Amino acid sequence: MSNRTADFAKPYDEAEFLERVEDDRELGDELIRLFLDNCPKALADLQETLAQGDLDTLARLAHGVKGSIGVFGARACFEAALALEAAARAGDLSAARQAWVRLRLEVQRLSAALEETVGGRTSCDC
Amino acid sequence: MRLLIADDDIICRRILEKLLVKWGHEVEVASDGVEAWQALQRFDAPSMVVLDWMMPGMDGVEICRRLRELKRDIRPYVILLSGKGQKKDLINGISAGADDYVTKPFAPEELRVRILAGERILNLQAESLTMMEALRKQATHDYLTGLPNRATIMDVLRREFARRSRGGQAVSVVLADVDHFKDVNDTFGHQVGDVVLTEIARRMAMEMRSYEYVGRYGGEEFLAVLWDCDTQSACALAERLRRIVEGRPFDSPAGKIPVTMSLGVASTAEIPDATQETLVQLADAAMYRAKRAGRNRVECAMDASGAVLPP
Repeated sequence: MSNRTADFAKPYDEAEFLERVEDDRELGDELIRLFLDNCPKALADLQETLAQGDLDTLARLAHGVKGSIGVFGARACFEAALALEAAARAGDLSAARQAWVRLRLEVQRLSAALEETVGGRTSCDC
Repeated sequence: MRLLIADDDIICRRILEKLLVKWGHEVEVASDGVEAWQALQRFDAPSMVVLDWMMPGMDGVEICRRLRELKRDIRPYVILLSGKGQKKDLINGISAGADDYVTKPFAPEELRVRILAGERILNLQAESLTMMEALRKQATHDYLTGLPNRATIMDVLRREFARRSRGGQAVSVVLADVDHFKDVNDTFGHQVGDVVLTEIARRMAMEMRSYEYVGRYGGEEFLAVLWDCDTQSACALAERLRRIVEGRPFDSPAGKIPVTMSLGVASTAEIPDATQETLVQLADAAMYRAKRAGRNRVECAMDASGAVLPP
């Protein structure tokens, strides 16, 4: 249980992420950049869909975001996306709004951490 | 191996592509279900697909269902990839036709070995297909000459008769028997006899057009089945067959061996009511007439007026 708490405290698990790319840091950085590039649009799409109350599309979008997030071993963020997907699928708009607030926060934390990772490495490489 | 990756999420797609290439596979990429389905329908479709469950256009489960309906000897092997980690989802996926199921986010090592397992199954399928094809060939063809065997050439004749009952065109048969074949065997040995039969079969097969068939009917007997062919054309073909055998003596370790054939022709053009068995019997009778008349000749079951000649 304490381990789980520890996992949730970190925005993402770098060791797990590296395992998923078989220690290919170049690929890792590429995926992080892809994520960071696509993130603003993904969030905007989620927000808009939620505002429209289109829960079917919301579930699909949340599912997609969840897939990307899963790669990084970002547990808290993953759980939030899962909650949003589940709420949308269940047709529960108020639960979806709550999950969305959580997800947006977690994605921001994750993005910041990922940014730091690639930013740090890029400056080192220079 | 050639693999298709189908995932609408760019990050998942990229990670799959990079890993699979690293593992030595040739990779094709589709970014939604419709694109994936198009790639899988091609005759040169990749032999395996790593398929995301949830995709816009067409989802992975629907693709699995459609793949199952394809009339193919070997269908692509499907590894369904999904974030759904519940037991009922796995059951639904496999029930729809997926061969394997991996949950996202996946551990690379697990996917790598599951692909290997799939490759083993595909190899087994390919082997058993090759074997079935070889057995089918063995069962329907003559081992020595490679021509259709008696059962097969009679099947062909039956088929042509069925076609005739719909279209009305005449079917003719030519029965050819090698003259004094026993002497070839007795003088030069059975191995030389086999070489002679094989060469006769080769020459006759070369003479056939794409819709004409020749099979080994018996020991030294061959039966040709000719579709949409009247008696005159059948006799002309029989004469050509006679000449290509007589014309060039057969090479053997013992030197050149002259060989001839006697041939009998029968056609439904003159005997529309004949069954396929009767037609072959008539050709056989005509062939015996050719033997009695001195061999190395063609005889027809009917005379010029169309009357059936006595054997």
